Amino acid sequence: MTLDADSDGPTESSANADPLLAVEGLRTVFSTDKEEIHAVDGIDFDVREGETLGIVGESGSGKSVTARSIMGLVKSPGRIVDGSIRYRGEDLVGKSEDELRAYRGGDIAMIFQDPMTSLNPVYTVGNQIEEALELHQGLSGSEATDEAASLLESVNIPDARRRLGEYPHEFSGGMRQRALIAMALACDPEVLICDEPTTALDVTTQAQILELLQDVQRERDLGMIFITHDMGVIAEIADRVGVMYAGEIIERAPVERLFAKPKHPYTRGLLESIPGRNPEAARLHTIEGDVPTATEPAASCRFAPRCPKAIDGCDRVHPSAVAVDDADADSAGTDGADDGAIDGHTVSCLLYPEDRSREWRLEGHRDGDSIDATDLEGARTDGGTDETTSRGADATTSRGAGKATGDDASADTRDDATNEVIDE
Amino acid sequence: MSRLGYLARRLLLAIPVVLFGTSLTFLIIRMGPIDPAAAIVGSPDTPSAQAQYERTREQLGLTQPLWDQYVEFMTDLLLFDLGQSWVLSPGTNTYDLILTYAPRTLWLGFWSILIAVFVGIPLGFYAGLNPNTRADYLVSFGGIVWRAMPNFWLAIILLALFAQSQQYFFGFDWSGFVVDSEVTGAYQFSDITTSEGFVREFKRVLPAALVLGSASMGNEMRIGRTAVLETINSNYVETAKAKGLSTTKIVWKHVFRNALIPLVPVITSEAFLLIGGAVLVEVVFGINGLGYLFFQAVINGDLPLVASLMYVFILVLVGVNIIQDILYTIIDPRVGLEEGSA
Repeated sequence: MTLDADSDGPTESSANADPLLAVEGLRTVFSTDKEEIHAVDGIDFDVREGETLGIVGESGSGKSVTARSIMGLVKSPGRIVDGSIRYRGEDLVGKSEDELRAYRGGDIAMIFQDPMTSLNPVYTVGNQIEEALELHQGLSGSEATDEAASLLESVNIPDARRRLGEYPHEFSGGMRQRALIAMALACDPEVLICDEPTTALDVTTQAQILELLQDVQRERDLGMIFITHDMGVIAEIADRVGVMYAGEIIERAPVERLFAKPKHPYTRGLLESIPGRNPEAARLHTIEGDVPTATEPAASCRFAPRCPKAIDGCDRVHPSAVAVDDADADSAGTDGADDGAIDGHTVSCLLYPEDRSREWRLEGHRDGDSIDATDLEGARTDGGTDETTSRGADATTSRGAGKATGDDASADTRDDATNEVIDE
Repeated sequence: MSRLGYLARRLLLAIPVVLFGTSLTFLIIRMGPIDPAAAIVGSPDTPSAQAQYERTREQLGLTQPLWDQYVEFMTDLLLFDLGQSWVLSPGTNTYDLILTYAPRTLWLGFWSILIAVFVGIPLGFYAGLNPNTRADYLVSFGGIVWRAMPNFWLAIILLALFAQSQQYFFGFDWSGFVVDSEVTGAYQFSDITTSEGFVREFKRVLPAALVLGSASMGNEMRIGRTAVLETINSNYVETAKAKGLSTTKIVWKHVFRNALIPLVPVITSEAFLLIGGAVLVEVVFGINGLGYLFFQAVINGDLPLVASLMYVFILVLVGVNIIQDILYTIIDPRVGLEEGSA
């Protein structure tokens, strides 16, 4: 029973249509005496069998907290305050520590960023793999040793049997990450969360580990969540991508579409920052500034202060997800049978939908979780325009705008941004 | 294999340390202000006394060249020919003196290390597992206070409390509790194998052991707390959690063993302090142990006894160091790595 995910049970082919893991409206907040940090602020995504969801974003955008929220490993003072995490329909939010533990490893396994410190230095690699085998597959003794050896072989560690008896410090970085992958596989999971598994490794090792993860996923039909800040890695491994910024997913799309037709100014910025993608540019493009720390519920677009395309209104209205039709959207039609928002391309930006006027868009984003054309027609008439324009007038004297949103913390940066607003 | 090699290396390195320490002892004794002949016969102020003084010097071998004295001194000690006491109890073999006094100190040291380890470390680990709770604050604060109390002061206070327990503890009679025992005085080991004798001697050693172990207990608690906190936030503990292991297994398997690593040198270095601290405590509690014997020997200029005791102390320290290395190699597989590859 080496690499056979089927041995686990008969459930699998029938469940194909339903997502393995569905996250909805997840909010994780870190409360300190001084402030509340909204590390993950209402994100939705799902993962199906055999599929890789890439989550990409800068440092501090909330990627790792998302992963830890799913595992139930958010460290104090962080806690999940809202939303649901459904694994095969079962909501994990609100479950007790003991109940959550039943899901960890065997159902949802995780591979961490730093292989150098993620193995316990005082136990042999074999011991740590066999520990997982015993817990999740009930193997012990020589059976467990055999299985552990074949797992190590399957992650391309030569001389596996001897390596089992060695300690982590006798392994190189790439080997340790392989051992950690073997350990995660020993749990026989359905979903594998990889939190920047290649960040700490050198480039050649990175490529090998990516390839290994892809092989492993294919063999076992795993649902995979791959977290990284590296757009190149995303292009290689992901099927669908969610772009995270300051705790929110601001754009999601199948990977080809995201790279071909990025919609959000932030995504465009990220793509332009990949070296070599834009050979004629003399200097590499960068996005000025840092990811802000979200200390209050979102009342505006959090990217607005850094956004080169910010319009009047970005500092007052929090954008909702808009489904954007790519011109060649025929591919969406093929498997659009279930939720179009999942397979389709959505973006949370006040610039969309592009074919509507600015006021219409502001109003629409202010109102809804998702933009629906019919809703918006109605919303537009009931006096909302007045409010928008009067607020808009305030905003031209930019100082007032910062206060209007109650977001004093970043008022300074916002002032700069609004001064440069390209008013339509 | 490399770990065995590492141990062998440490054992070999211990030899020059013993030689150097013993040589230094010789140097200090011979160069120091104590004149052993005068210590035996008194100051030579009359001609007859002068003659006796010279005779004694001759007998003691002090007229020989210093180099010869050194060689004799070293070979005798290394062969455990510890000589005889000159002043304290003239003519008695030093060896016998040590055999009489040492068990008392060992008994005291054993319990003070054990109590400190078995109280300090669990408390520290508990505080580390429940950081920033009321219990943690209580333990941490208590640890600092306990550690801050000086040995000699704590000894006197505990002595007073235990000796007059009826007055302070609402009529609870410590001396008569379970078996009759006194609070002070040298230990009697003649009937230690019987349960009554064991309980009696344990009761007697308890106050002194508490005092002697107090500093180490506080240290072990604080370092244990920090070590557990550090370990529990480490990446490998997160990996273990993500694996789905139970909290019990994570704490006992993954946290404690790693948290013990920084405690090893603390425990062993406290063992050194016990030798020095024992003198004070032994005096206050009236225990005639090695510390007391050493102190008396130094004051009275009983040089062979001083030298022999120093030699014993050096051996104990080196031995404790080697025990520390053995503990390291058992707990932490990374120890000995460099030696292994060299």
